[in-house]
Amino acid sequence: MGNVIKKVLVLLKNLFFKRLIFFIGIIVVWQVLFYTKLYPVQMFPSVKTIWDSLVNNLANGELLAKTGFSLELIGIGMLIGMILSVIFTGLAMISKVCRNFVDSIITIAHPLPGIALLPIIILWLGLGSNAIIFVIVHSVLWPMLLNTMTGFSSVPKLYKQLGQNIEMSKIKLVFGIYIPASLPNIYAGLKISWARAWRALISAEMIFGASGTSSGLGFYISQKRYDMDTPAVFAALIVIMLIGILVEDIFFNQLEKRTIGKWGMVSQ
Amino acid sequence: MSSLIEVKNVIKQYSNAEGKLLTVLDGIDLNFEQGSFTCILGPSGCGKTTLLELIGGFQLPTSGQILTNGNPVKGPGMDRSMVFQTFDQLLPWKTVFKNVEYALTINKIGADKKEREDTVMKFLSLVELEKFRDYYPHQISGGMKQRVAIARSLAQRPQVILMDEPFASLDSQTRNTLQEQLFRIWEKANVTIVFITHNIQEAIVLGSKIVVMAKSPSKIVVNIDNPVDAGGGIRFPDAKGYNECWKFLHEKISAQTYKEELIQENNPDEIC
Repeated sequence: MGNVIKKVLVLLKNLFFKRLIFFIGIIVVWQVLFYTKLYPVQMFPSVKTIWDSLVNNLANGELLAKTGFSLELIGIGMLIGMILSVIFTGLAMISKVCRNFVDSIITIAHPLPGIALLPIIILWLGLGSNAIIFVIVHSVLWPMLLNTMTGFSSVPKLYKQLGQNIEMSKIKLVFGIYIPASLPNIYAGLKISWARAWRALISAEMIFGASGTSSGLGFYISQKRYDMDTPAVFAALIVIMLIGILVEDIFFNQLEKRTIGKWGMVSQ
Repeated sequence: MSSLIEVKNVIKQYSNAEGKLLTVLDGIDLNFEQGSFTCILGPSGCGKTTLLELIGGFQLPTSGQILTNGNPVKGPGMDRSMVFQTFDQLLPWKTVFKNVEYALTINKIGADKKEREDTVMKFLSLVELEKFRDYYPHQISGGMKQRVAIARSLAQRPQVILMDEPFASLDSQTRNTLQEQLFRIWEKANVTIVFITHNIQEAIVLGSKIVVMAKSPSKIVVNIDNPVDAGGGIRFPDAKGYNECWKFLHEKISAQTYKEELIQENNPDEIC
């Protein structure tokens, strides 16, 4: 009997089961609220209708296509954001003038919501995917840059001395010492950027609508709202959350475990 | 024996926050001979680390000259390798092996991978850590980390190893063991070592030469050949002349502290 309890406790410790219990809790509360009929069904659908909508929309390929399109835009946006942040960080490393310049840009641009830039972006880039990518890059670049620069400036003096001692060139110093030593900060920046990218993408899509022939999850959500297909709206939200969990738990966790976790660079 | 490193009338000044000049080193003259093991003693804050960083080329003197093999020091280089006090001096993302190998890879020392590996393993076995080659720094103890740092320095094949209180954070048991190990390595590897410490015992055990620095602004107070005779072996407290030497050094260092306090009482403005 004691053994069984122990095993159950071990299972509870497991993140997956903790999460599962949490989700079951939410589902139960949701369903109870549904049964009280406090809100109209159009606003507050039952768990079952949401589930059916999710399964149907996944099965007919519509939701998957939209998700795929959104992910593609995020991927492009994050890639551009990462490249730009490496370039900016490099510039900031080269000279003090550049550093001040980059600091000023961050101070000005970071608090600026991408949506506030929309009118100008539409004027400049039109209504296509490019405009959405621009908003994503804007939301990704600054937190990434901020974290990378924080990481670089908190590299211990001793590591720099070690690098100088063994006569490393500036480029080797950046790739061999600065980047690995700043990985905890760089990962933090990546995580924040990833979350910001999703937000930017969905809101931009909801405002821009479809770009050309294809469209993503944001457009899907606003379209379903027009149709008063509330279960489908929730289904899309569930997909966004699932992707978030997958990326966080599988991609980022594994990445950290295999690098800074293995190297003892995280406080556990 | 020829002079490998010459420190000639070196003065080092910093300006503090109020723009006032603060003299840390006030005319230091020292010679480090090929194959010597010099221990530099001094009260804390006397500029021992500054002197080491000047020799290492991480800072430049305000005036005076530092020469290695007759050439002025212009910056850090492979010929002068550092071992620090902190345990965090290994790169955490590299294994013990890779940490030692890094300087060799960066500078393309050794004909091929195999030759580099042999070099690394030779020095890892010198500090008796060949079994830990694939461990990451966070998986080994503080004393082991310092040994890896020593192996890393040796593998760099420097003309001189500059050690900044490398054993100061260790427990006394480990410290004694590492002192003996370092002494044997110095005998075997025929390297020149400049070793900073604030521990008199450590200076007597290790140093072929012992230097005492005064409190800042620093001058050299004592510069002697280690008088303790242990027949070339390690100088344990039962060696001839150990006690006298300890007392002598202790007096010299206490005199520094005492003098400092007197000055402070008389004109407190002169102390920064």
